[in-house]
Order: sequence, then structure tokens, then C-alpha cells
Amino acid sequence: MSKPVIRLSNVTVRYDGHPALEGVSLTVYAGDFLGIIGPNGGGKTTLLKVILGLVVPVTGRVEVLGMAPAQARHRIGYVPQVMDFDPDFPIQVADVVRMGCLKYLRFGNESRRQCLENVEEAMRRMGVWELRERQMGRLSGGERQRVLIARALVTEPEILLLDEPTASVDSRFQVTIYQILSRLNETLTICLVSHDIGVISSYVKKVACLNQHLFYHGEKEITEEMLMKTYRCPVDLIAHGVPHRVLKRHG
Amino acid sequence: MELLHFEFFRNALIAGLFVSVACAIIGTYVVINRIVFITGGIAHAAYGGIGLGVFFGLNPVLGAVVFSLAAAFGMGTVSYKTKQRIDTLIGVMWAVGMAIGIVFADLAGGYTAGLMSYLFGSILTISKTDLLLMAGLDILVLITTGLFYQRWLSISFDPEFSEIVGLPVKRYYLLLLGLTALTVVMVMRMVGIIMVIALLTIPPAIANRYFTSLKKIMAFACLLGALFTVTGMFISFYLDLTSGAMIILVAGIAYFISLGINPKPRSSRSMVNTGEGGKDGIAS
Repeated sequence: MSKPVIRLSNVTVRYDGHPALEGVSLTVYAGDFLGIIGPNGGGKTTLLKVILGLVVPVTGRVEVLGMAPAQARHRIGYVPQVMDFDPDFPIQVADVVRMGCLKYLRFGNESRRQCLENVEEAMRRMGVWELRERQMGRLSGGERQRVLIARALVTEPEILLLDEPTASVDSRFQVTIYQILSRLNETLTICLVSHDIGVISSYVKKVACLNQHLFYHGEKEITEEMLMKTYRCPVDLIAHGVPHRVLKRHG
Repeated sequence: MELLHFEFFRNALIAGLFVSVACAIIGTYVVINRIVFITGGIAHAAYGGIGLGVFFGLNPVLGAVVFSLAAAFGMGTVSYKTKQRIDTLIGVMWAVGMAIGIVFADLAGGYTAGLMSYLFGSILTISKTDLLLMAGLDILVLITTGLFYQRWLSISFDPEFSEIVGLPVKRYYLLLLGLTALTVVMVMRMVGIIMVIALLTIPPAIANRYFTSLKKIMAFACLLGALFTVTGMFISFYLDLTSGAMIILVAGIAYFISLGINPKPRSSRSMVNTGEGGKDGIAS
């Protein structure tokens, strides 16, 4: 068994008294590719922010790479939701990716210069180098998504956290994003959240369900019981990519 | 052009040019951070300092600096913590600042009509000392922006990511608000408290329609600011109207005209093959 990189035990988060996460326990191991699904408002983004140390739980323990989250977060590549950004914000694509290099400010100029060289490589890898002088807000959802992944890669992370990576991507290109992530998973631990059960495709290795409570058996299969508990209603699920179906066969 | 023979008018023109520099740079950050109303709150809170300055027989501008900085750090700290409900606090500080100023000016008694110049601006009162202070602030703004350009761009675009990569986001945000407060006090001398936010926001807002890089927006906003202040001053002199208001009117008219002038191409999808077609827009 590989070593645990993220460990949450009995984590509860409340916003103004309203529960966002209730007693969530989760262990993510090095090399995992975990997909967490759940309805909107189910606490998915909150869970990522807890791992990043941006939200402090009222109870429970969080450990990332054996440290407190705020100490470990510079080793996490965070890819927020594309739609969180103001489309009129005047920033060029290359400047967005260069943000990753701010991490190296405290390590002196040499490592920062090194990082700026990595920017081109990361952008080429994500196929956004040609877009470098364009305004971020003028790109398509899929292009912006790849820019944000490139930015996260520039920080040379050990863990990649993605918030709804396919929500603003045309369904034809969701597969492309998953292929990219699948390749990255060869060297990185990946954890993503999504409200869309359909997009948890054959690329993800493990699946958890989250609706304030987390249902997770460390496996890829989602049981009907997990879905019932998560969505509180029977969910009619069409499993795409039949050879690797996520749902158990009915009957 | 015989106006240029008057020293006060030459001073006013130079002041207009100085103000344009700080306004363009700080105003750009104000616009992209959507803190126009925090800036308005800072400006109006400054009036409290002016009233206290008059009451204690100190320099009113010094009082304004203290009050605007306090308001900036107060609102900055609260708005950093909670993104919601900040508008109520802004409104309260806005009004309470004004009230303090008015009450202390009353208590001071005597001739307080001079305080009107802080509300509506008065280029007649701009002294050589003011010019030196304005030049000093310009230098300060230029240096800090040169040093922190990338960092301020990052915290404005994505504060959470900036924090994750280890930037002390709050510190940079408060530093920006502090400079905003100083700029507000300086601009107040030109156009008055009531119209400060217009001169800070209109030039960058116009520039933002035509340029995508922050540096270009700042440079173009600077040119626009200079154009508006100089044009406004000449018109106000020839028509014998309040100069601050005329500057703002010129800026406002330019803003509305710019709304009708074709902005930067919105849909210039690149022709390079990026593995995707053009049409994978907003799906959710």
C-alpha cells in the first residue's frame, strides 16, 4: 500500500451555524485518482478548501503530506472553477500561468528564473502556448481550464486538486481533459470534485460521494446506497464507457 | 493662453498631470478589484479628519490622511474576512465620516467656508507644497507598482491561489488600500471628496475597454486623466464654472462616448489549432 498523502478524520465545517461538512473522514494515498461527486451545495468546494487550509474545520483533524494543511499547501496544485473568474479581468494567459512562479519568490531569484522557464513547458504540455498573449476571459471554457491546469503544474505539485474541471467544457472535450489528467496521474496524486456523475468516467480510479457526509469505500464502484444517501432520491444513472462502468450492473 | 501667465493656473495644470499618474495606476487596481465603493467610503471618511484637523488647529490634510488610512485598513480588514455585507459597513463609514467632519467644523466655529474646497475641490488653493506632495506620492506609487506588479495582479485576479503559493495576500491588499487612501486625499484637493471616485475610476474603466494588459490600461488611463483634467480646467476658466465639477463632466462625457465606440474584439478566437474547435463556451 502506498503512503497516505491526505488524511481527514471526522472533519466538520459550519458556515454561520449551517453545516457544510459533517464528520467527514477520508484518506487519499499517493498515486490515487479520486473523483468526489455530489450535488451542488454538498460541500465539495469546502472539502477542497479544508485540504488547502483555506477553511478551518470546527472539529476534526486534517493532515496533508504529514503536515498541517497551511504548511503543506504550497505542494498542492489547485485548479479552481473556471467560472469563478470575471471574464473582463484584464490579464493575459501567460500572466495567469506565471502566477505559479510566485511560489518561488521566497526561494530566491534563481529558482524563480528556473520556474519562468518551466512556464513555457507547462503551457506547451497543456496546448495553450499559442494562446499566451490572449486575454484569459476571452478563451473558451476548455482553454481556460487547461490554462489553470498549466498554472498548477508550474508549482511542481505532488497533489493536484481540481474543482469541477469539466463543468464549463463542451462534452466533446471532457474526454480530452480526462486524458490529460490520466497522463498527469502517472506522476501525481489527483483529487477532483464534480456535481456531474456522468463525467466521473473510466479514467478515475476511485469514487466517493459527498453531500455533507462522505461515502467512500476506497473503491471505484458507487453503490446505489451511496447515491441514495448522497442525492436523497433515486438517481437514474447511465454509465458511459461501458467497459469500465462506474455503477454496479443492475439486478 | 494668457492663463498660463498665472502661477496658480500653472500649478493647477501641473497638479492635474501629477494626479493623473497616481489616479491611473491606483484607479486601475480599484476597478479590477471592484472596490470602487470602498474607495468612495475612504474618501468620505476622510472628511471626518478634515473637521478634526480644523477643530484642533492642525493641518486638515493631515487629518484627512489619518482618517482615510484608518478607514482603508478598517474596511480592508473586514472586506478581506467576509465578502458579503461589506456594503452596509461602507455606507456607515461613508456617512459617519462626513458627520464627524461637519460636527467638528461647527464646533470649531469661525470661518468654515474654506471647508467647501475639500468637498468640491479647489485648484486655486493648490500650493507648491501640494505639488511636492503629489510628486512624492507619484514616485511612491510608481515604485511600489514596479516592485509588486505581478503580485498585485495575482491577488487581484485570484487571491486564493495567491495565498496557496505563499503570498501574504492580506498584507498586499492592505498596502494597496493604503496607497488608495493617500491617492484619494491627493485627488480630493483637485476635484473634491464628492467626485474623487469618478476621477479614479473613469480613466481606467475606459482604458479597460480597449486594452487587455494592465500596463497598457494604466498608461492609457494616465493619458486620459491628463486630458480630462486639463480640458476641464480650461473650460471651467473660460466659462467661470467650478473646475472640479467640469473635470468630472468632461470625464463622464468621455466615458459615455466610449460606451458607443467599439471595444476590443470580443470574439477573436485564435486560428491556431489547439485541439478544440471554437464553440466550447459556457456549458453550465
